[in-house]
Amino acid sequence: MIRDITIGQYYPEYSKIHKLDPRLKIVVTLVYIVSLFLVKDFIGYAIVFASIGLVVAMSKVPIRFILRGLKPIFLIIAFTFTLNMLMTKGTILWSWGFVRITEEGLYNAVFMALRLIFLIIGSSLLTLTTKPIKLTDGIESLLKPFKKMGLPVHELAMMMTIALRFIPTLLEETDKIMKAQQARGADFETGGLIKRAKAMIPLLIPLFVGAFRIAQDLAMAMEARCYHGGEGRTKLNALKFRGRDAAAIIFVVIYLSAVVAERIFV
Amino acid sequence: MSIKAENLTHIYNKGLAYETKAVDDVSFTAEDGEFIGIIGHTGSGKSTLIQHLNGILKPESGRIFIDDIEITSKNVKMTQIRKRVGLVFQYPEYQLFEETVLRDISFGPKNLGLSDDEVVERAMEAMRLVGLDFETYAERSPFELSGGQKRRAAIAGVIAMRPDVLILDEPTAGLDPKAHEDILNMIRSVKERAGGIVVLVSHNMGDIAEMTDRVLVMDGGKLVRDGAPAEIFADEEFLKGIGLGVPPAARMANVLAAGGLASDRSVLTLGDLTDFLANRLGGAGGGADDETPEVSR
Amino acid sequence: MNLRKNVRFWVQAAVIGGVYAALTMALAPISYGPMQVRVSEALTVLPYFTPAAVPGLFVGCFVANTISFYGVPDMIFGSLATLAGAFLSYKLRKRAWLVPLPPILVNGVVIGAMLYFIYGVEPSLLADMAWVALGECLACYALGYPLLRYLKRHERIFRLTED
Repeated sequence: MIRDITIGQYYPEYSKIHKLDPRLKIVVTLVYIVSLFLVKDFIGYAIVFASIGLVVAMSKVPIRFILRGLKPIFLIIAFTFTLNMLMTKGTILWSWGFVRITEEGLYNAVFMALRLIFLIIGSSLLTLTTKPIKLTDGIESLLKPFKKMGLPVHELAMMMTIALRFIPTLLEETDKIMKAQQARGADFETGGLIKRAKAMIPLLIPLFVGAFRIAQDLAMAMEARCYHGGEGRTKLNALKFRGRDAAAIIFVVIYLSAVVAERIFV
Repeated sequence: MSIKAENLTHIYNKGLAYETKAVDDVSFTAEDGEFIGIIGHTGSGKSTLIQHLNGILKPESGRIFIDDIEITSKNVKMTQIRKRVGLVFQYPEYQLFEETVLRDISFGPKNLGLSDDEVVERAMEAMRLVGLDFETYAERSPFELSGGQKRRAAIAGVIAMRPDVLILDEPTAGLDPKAHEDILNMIRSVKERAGGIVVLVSHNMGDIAEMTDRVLVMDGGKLVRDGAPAEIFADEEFLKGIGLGVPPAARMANVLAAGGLASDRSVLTLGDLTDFLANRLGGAGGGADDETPEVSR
Repeated sequence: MNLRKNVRFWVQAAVIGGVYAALTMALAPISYGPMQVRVSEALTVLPYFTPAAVPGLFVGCFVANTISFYGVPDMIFGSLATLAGAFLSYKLRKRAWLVPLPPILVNGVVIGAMLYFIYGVEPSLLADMAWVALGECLACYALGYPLLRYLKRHERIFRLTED
C-alpha cells in the first residue's frame, strides 16, 4: 500500500558513479540526452549502448532496477512503436487488409523506440545513483550564477529540501486520513471519475489543514533558530570536485566526439 | 452481539527482507456489554489489530466474525462492517473537513445511505451523547472549535453511525487533565446509553483500570494476556518486562506494601487507593496488622 | 523586508510542493504515463489563495518528476509548464472560474510538444497536445474547481502570518 512506496528511485551503493559530483552528473545527463538526438543511425546507437552499458556496469545497480524504470513507459514505447510502424509510407514489407507495415516504418519504429529506451535509462541512472538531497545541492550550485538575475536560488533549493523531507510524513498523513474517512464509510476506490473526484474532498481538506499546521510549526522552528535567509550561509557538506570527476569528464568528451563523428562521417 | 477473532495474523512487507508479523496468531472473543482495554508497547500490534476489526486491514490468515458475519471473507460489503464497527483513530480531530459540525458528523451516516431525516436525527443524537450542544455548535465550522470540542465532534462522527462495537485508539492523547477526564466520562456515558461493546486502546494504565472490565495485553504481535484488570495488573514484573507499567494507584499500593503495609492486589484506581489508605490509616494507625482491610471498589 | 513573513512564505510554498509530490506518489498508477490524470493537478487552483503556491507547485512538480519514470525532460519541461501555469493562474485569481484554465493550456502545449518532439509520440503534435489538455481539464475543472469552492470556506488555513 502507500507504506511500501520508497522515496525516489535512489539505489544505495558505493560505486564510483554514486560518488561522482552531482553537478557533473546533472550536466552529463543533459548532454547525454541531447546526444541521443544527434545520433543518425544504428551505429550511433551502438556507441550509446556501449557507453551507457559501461556506466551501468560501473554503477553496480542491478539490471532489474534499470529495467523497472522502463515498465511504466512501456505503454508509450509500444504506442510509439506501433504507430510509427503502421503509419510511415514507403516500401511495403507485409500487408493484411488495412494494415500496412513498411520497411521505413519498421526502421523508424525501432529507432524511436531505442531512443526512448536510452533516454529513460540515462534519466533513471541519474536518480538511481544520486540521493535527492545531493541532487538538490547540485541544482542549487549550478543555478548560483542566476542569483544575480534575481532567481531565488537558495530559497528554491530550501523548498526542495523541505518538500523532500516532508513527503514521507505527508504520505503517512494521507494514509491516516484515508483510513479514518474509510472508517466512516468513505469510498476511494469504486465509482466513475466524477464520483471519485468528489470522494477526494474528505481527503484533501484534512491533508491541507495538516500540511499547513506542519508549515507553521516548521517556520516557527526555523525562526527560533535564527534562520535569516540565504545570505552568507555555509554548507555542512560542500560539493567538491575530485579526481574521479575529471576522469568522468574525459570519458564524456570522448563519448560525445564519437557520437558527433558518427553523425558527420557515417 | 459479539466479536470473534480466530488466529489472526498480519504480515507487513511480505516477501521483502524486512517483513514483519505485526499480528501473530491472535484469537479472542468479546460479548455484548463488555468494556475491553487493549494495552501494549508501541509496535506491539495494537493498532494493526484494531484496524482488522473494522475491515480496514485484511489479515494474512485467520478470520473475524461480527455476530455471525465473517468480515474477512471476500464477499462481504464494507458498509456491512462499517455499520457495525466504528473506529476512532488517534487525534481524530484531524479528520474533520466539512463546513459545519453538523455536516461533518453527518458524513458517516450519509455514507451508510440513510435518508436525510434519519441522518439529521442520528447527528443530533450523537452530539447529545458527546456533550456538544446542538443549538450552539451545529452550524459552526469545526475549525473554530477548541481542541477538546473538535475531538468530541470527531468522535460524534463515528458514534452517529450507531456501531455495535466502538473502538477508540488513545482517545485522551494530547488533552489537558480536565479534557482528559471529560472524554473518559463521555465514553462511559456513551456506553451506558448506547450499549454494545467498547474497546479502548491506551497507554494510560490508570484509564484502563478505571474504565475496562477486561484487558488484552499485546506484545510483539502476540496476545500474551487476557483477563480482568485485577489479574493483569497483579503481575507487575511481567508487565514491566514487556515495556508496560501498572496503574499509578497500584504502583503506590505496591510501594506501600514493600514498606510494611499489607498488600492488596485489588487496588487499581485512585478510588481504590483512597479507600485502602482510609481503611489502613483510619484504624490502628499503621503497623504490621494481620487483618486485611475491606476495600470497596 | 519583513523577514518573518518571508520565511513563512517559503515554508508554506515548500509544504504545498510536498503535498503535491506526496499526492502524486500516493496515487501513482494514474499519475504518470500518457494518461496523465494527476489528481494532484487539482492543486493548481491553489494560486487563488496564496502566491506561495506558484513556487510551491513548481518545486512539487519537480520533486514528483524526479520520482517519475518519465525522465529528465519531464522534470524540466513539466515543472516549467507548471510554474508558468501557476503564475498565470495567480494573475487570474480575481475570477475563480478562470483559475484552472492556464494549467490546462500551458501543460497542453508544453507537455504535448515534449511528448511529440522528444518522446516521439505519434500521430501528431496537435493530437498530443489535445490529449494532455484533456487529462488536465479533467483534473483541473472536475476536481480542482470543487476543491477551490470548498477551500474558499476554509480560507484561514492559508494565512500563516497570524500567530
